Formats: sequence, structure tokens, C-alpha cells
Amino acid sequence: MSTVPESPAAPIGPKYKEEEEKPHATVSKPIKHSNVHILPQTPQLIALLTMIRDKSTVRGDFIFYSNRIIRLLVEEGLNHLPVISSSVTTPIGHTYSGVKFEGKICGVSIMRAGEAMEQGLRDCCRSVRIGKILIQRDEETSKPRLFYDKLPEDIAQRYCLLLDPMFATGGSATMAVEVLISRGVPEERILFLNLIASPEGIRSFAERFPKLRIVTAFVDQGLDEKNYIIPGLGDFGDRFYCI
Amino acid sequence: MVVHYSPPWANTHIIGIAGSSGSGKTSLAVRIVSALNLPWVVILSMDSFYKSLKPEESARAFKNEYDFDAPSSIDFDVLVERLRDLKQGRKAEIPVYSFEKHQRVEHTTTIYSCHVLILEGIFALYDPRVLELLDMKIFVDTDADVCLARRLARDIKYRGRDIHGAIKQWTAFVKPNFELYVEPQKKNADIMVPRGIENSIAIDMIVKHIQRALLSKSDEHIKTLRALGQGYDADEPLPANVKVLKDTPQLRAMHTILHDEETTREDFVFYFDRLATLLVERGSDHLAFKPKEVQTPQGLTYAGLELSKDVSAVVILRSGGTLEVGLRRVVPDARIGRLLIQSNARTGEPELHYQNLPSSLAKDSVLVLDPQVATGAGALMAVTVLKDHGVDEERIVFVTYLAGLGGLRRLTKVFPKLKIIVGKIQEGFERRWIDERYFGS
Repeated sequence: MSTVPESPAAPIGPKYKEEEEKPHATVSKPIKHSNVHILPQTPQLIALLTMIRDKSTVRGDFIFYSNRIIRLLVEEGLNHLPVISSSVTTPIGHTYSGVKFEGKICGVSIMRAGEAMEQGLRDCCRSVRIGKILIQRDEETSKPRLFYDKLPEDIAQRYCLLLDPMFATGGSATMAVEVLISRGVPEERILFLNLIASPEGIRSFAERFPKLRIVTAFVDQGLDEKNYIIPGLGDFGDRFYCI
Repeated sequence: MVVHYSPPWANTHIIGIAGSSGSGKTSLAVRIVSALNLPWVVILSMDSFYKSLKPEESARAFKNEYDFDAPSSIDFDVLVERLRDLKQGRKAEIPVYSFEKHQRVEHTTTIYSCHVLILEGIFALYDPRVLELLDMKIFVDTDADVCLARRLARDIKYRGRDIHGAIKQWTAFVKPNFELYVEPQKKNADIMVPRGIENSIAIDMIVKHIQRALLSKSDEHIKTLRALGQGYDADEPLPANVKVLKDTPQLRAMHTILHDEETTREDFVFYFDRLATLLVERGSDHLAFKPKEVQTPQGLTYAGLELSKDVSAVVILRSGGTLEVGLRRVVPDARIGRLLIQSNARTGEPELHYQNLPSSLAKDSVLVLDPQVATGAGALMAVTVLKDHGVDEERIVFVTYLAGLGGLRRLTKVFPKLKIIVGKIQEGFERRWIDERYFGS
């Protein structure tokens, strides 16, 4: 574990505060790839991550705080979708030149942890269609294997928000993206939303799919010998659904 | 440069009404208040300032042998202090006196934000320090036999005394004290009202006088507000503590839906709630945090942050109610205070009609919610109220959706440490419409 370089610590807070007024905390490792978008490391985001990383956080709180981060991820993800100009008349008779959403979207969750992100997606996109992909590690080959998928029929015409909270080696995410591409979804229409990623996993993923966009809340220190993200938050699915 | 804003209740107009016991001071005060029919006219009875009695005095009081009608029974020091607070527009805690126990009770009542205060009591025009604070001095001059008759009726009916006790009080204390202390106050009075509340001409005159005072206060307030908005360079950048949400395609699409008059109410509420959640999330970044180390399930340490204070919210009604869903999605257990501030339909002057604030406010971080800031007048008033309730300016985060530059400049000039989160900058003045759309009324 000592081989993994330390994560950076930084004073965190708004610009109008003096440096010494800002509390210090560990922030996300930077990633240079232009298709990786890390949420701004604001005090509020760090506090939310602190809550869900803490092993003594009870399940109700874990669900609530992870949901808040997921909503922020979805909001950031949606910003990467195209819009077109649209002019409207306001209730008090003014003209407002705005924009409107263009194109249809759908969510695709990688079971089971990814399903935990569906509520956050629905909070922002009310009646969004959601597909599912079940990928599990094959006991014999110890490689990920596709067990099940159910996706909207017109998925090739949609922008896909791929949901998986923890990105360690990226084995299942890579397989999920390949499934989507095989159904005709162009790579540039896939957005991968994720809470905590490992630096090595996300770099190789970003290089493998250069047109796909990744939105994450935090790039952690690294992986341990069992390929768990460290310091991480444990098994997201277990903490969300069971423990 | 910090600019001072003084709310319309600073320099409270204080009216003193004195007169003999049973002369009808209270009735006169009540008649004046009901004739004015405004929420910011308040009666303060000097009975609240009776000194707590020592056991020996209390025993005499129960035997009707204690002199309640001498100036020495009134705690003028506390009264003067409270009146000075109110005159300055500050909050005043008024003691509550129990006639059953002859003691001040634990709790107090609060007077805040009244524009006119009517102080009534037999010694309202007695202490020179009080006289100095009064804007109008009234003496109710009722015949002694009428006073006695009223006093007897009241003592027996409401104060549990018997007829002998009541007469004993009158002859031993009330009458001699009247001659000694009460009557001489006449020379301090501006107006003598013979016959008390039967004197409708006098009451009418007093009411008209107060109305004029209120009107000039309101004019002054409007002038202050106008002056605060002048003399700023239109190109002057907003200070760093005003945060406008990043102009992203998604946000602009939401603005478009919310601004479109053809959007259904169902959609409006959905997108407004979504945007409100974002605003409150952004606002939360400006609360106070401190470092916190936690252990992850893998047994490793993460150096993170946690909120260093509880979060309270203050909703400026009615519009502020539109941001409450967003608030609950982010801080479901926030303690919520409410202020009803309405603009006067005729003058546009903001008026504080109602307030109910959690007592914890003074030690919490506070989010103030109001979806629209146009002139900033209502917001100025709200922040003033919070500061008067002990909330530090730097602990207040004002969350709004649409804000005009003029309003933002006013707010930041008066409160340079206030943080303001804005969804979108509004060009020019717009009347409030978000609440109409959101609530459908």
C-alpha cells in the first residue's frame, strides 16, 4: 500500500476567504484527460463524501448523502448534452431568449450498485427511460461476464447516462460500454457517471474511449491488492442496500 | 464602504399615556390601536415593570398593605433600558409580572419591529428619562369618583380582592399617591384627555397625529431605500461574495422552461424544485466547515470536512416558500423560521407583518430563502431582522433565483459580509411572479 502515492490535501473554500480561514481536507487527484470531468471540490462536496466514506455512517444517512452527490453528478452530466436556441414569452410579457433540450436520453445502470443512482437521475429527469446491465465476475476466468441486459429498443437514438458509483479497475464499465456500442450507441453519446474512481482505472478507461465523457465526484488515492479503491467507502451496493 | 440601512422601526414613535388608576388609559390605548388597525402598533403596559416583591413585601401585598401606586414600585431602570432599545429599533425582552405571585416570572415577551409603541401606566409621564423618549405625552383626566367605581369593579372581579380590601387600597394608597405623584404629571403632558374613551374627538385627533407620524416614517424609509440604490457604476463588478450559478446549457434550458408562460404548472414546479435544489446545494458551500477525519470500511483514514454549525433556514414569505422543497432535499432537518414581508401596494415599501424565528438561530449557520430580489428592499429588511436576532452577518447565506443588479448592490453595500447565491441575474425591474406560477395563485 505504501507504493500508492498520497492524495493531495488542500485548503477548501470560496475565493473570498483567506487561505488560513479555509479548513484543509484531502481532495481529488487531478486527471489530465479532457474527457474526464471531476466535480468542483467544494467544501460541501467534501463534507458529503466524508459522510459516505465514514464506516460509522448509518444506512439511512448513507443513502441520503450519496443521493445528494448523485444529483450533483447528474446535473453536471446533463450539461454535456446539446441544446438548441429557443425564445419564449415570460409570464410578465417579456421575451426570454433561452435554449431547450435537444435529443432523447436514457439511463443505463450497471446492476446492482448502479441502480442506487436511478433515484438521483429521476430527481432531475422525471420520466427518463432506464435500461439495466448485469455484469458479474466469472468464477472460472475471473473476468467480467455479461449475464443480463434490458435496454430501451431505440437506445441507438439516445444519449446514454451510464451509472456505476464505484470505478475501480473499470472491468464492468468497459464491458457495459462495449454492450452499448454493440447496440448502436455512438461512443460520443455515452456519459459515464460515477462517485469515486481509481486514478489508474479512470486513466485507462479515458484513453480506451476518448470520445466518451466521464463525470466523477472524486478520484481516490488508488487500488489495494484486492483491487478495492482506497481509502474508498467499502462496498457501495452493500452499504446502500443491505448493511 | 459600508452603508447603513435603518429599518422603518428604528426611531420608534413612542406615545405615553398616564392617568389615575381606573381613568381608562388601557381602554384609550386599545381604542387607538384598533382605530389605526396596523400590525406594527404595540401597547406596552407599565404593569410589566413592577418590581418583584421580597417575601415580607409580598405578605403585605396579600393583605392589601403594599403600596403599588407609588413610583418606587416600578422598575424604571429596566423600563428606560427597554424603551431605549425599542427606540433604536432593537429587540426588547419585556418582563412578565405575575399578580398572583407578586414576582416576575421566568419567561419574557418580545417586542420587536413596532413602528409605534404606546406606553400606558399611571406613571408613564413620571421619569424624566422616559419623558425624553416620548414623542407624544397624553394624560387621561377622569373624575375621581368614576375612577374609584371602575377600580372597585376591576379589583373585585379580576384581581380577587374583596370590597373592604379594595377600598382600603384606594384610601391608603391610590388617592394619596394620585395627589402626590400622578396628578403632577399633568404638567408634563402635551394633551389632556378628559373623560377617557368617551372623548371621541380627542381620540380622533390622536389617531390622526399618529397616522401622520407613520406616513412620514414610511416616506423616510422609502427615501433611504432609494438613496441606497443610487450612485453605483452600472459596470462595477459584483463583489466576490455574490455567487451566480455557472451559466451551463442545462441551467439555461431550465431558465427557459421556467420563463415560458406556456409551461404547465406541473412542469414549472418540477423544474423550479430541481433548480432550487441546485441553489441550496451551492448555498451550502458557503456555510461553515471544519476538518473531520473518518475511517472508511477498509480501515483507512480519509481527511474530510463536516459542517461546524447546525443549519437553520429563514423563509421570506410568501415567495420564499417556493424554495422549501429544494431546502428539504439538501437539509431535511433544518430548523425553519418564517418572515412575512409584503410590499405596500401603494408605495412599494416593504412591511414586516409577521415573524417566527427558531431560538437556535443565533448560533446556527442560516440560509435565507427568497426566489426574487428586485430592489432588495425586502431582503435588506430580512437580513436586518436576523442581525437584530443575534445572527452574525457572515453566517448568513441568502439564496435567490432571480436578482436585479440594483438590489444586489444595495444588499452588498449594506451587508458586505453577507453571501448571496443567485440563479440568474435579472435585467431591469420585474415584479414578483415566481410564487404566482409555483403556487398557482
